Amino acid sequence: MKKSSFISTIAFAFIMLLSTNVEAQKFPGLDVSPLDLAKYSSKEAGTLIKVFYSRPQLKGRTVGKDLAPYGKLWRTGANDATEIILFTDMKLGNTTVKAGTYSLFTIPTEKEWTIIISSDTNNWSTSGYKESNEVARVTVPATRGDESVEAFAITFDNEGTMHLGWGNIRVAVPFTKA
Amino acid sequence: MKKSSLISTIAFAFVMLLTANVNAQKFPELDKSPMDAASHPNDYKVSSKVAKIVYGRPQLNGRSLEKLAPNGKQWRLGANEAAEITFYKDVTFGGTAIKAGTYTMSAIPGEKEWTLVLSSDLNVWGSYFYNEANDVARITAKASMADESLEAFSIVFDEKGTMHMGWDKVRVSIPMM
Repeated sequence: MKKSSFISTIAFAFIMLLSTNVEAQKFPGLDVSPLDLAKYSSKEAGTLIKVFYSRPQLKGRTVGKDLAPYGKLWRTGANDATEIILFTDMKLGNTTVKAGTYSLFTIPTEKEWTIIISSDTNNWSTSGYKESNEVARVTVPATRGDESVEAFAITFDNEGTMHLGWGNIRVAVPFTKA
Repeated sequence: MKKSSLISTIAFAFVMLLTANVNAQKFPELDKSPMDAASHPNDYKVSSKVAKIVYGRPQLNGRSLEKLAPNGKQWRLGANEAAEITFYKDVTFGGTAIKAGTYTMSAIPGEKEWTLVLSSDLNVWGSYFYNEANDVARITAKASMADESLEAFSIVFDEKGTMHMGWDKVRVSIPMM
């Protein structure tokens, strides 16, 4: 009797230990390619465009070779495909894109980049890309800046042009109000 | 004649220098309180989401939670821009029915329970522009203490869809159905 109650006490203690482990919720550490936000807004019009993108860093690697290889569809960042939200109808090149949430893909090459807006959202990397879901596609020249940008960056200027920068590569994507 | 051409050359060079400076686009550094996203389902392979929250992740850096997110005061639930949550379908969040859509979520921390405030205001910095008239729901959630201290403010959804928030030893969970 004594022995069996001893065993059951140990068993009970063991189960308690297990259940505590099960209950402790795990939380994620900081991402090595953190998410960031680029925003185009004006005092009069409020927020017009928001771009959520992850920011991988060069760490001695080369854009076009080890990172964002030339000629291949790129998620325009890291982790999930980059998300672009238009709060009003906007024009990318000559194509009008309706207000809404989209993915922003790119195909980098040495001299020019192809910019693709797709209606697929919440996809990992380029896994959700379908040509039939393309909403707009434009090709813009790639230029070079003097300064090297370590973490892939997106920023808007006051005119609504979206600038991409990584390493010495610079790409300007013109958005205008439709 | 010679002198004036020298001056105009210098002036031209100076103007060119200015133009180059104007043309060089500035890019932002990585944020000290990086943005992150948590979604349900958590699995990155599942693109059909029920909810996604985007929030800034401040770190303790030796400071106390009482100082960073004081009890009784409205807090932006993270850093920089107020946290934004998107429900891709109608849900019951912490016992309250919420329509599909995007909302700003802030919190009023408390020792035993937290109040979460969902607002239809969007694109706001911090909680400075908070307008009570745009409140969509106020949700009460129990606060508990864990053994482990989390350095960075964290949000994660578990498999059932419950949203867990944690910073230092404080934990707050909100069920979503």
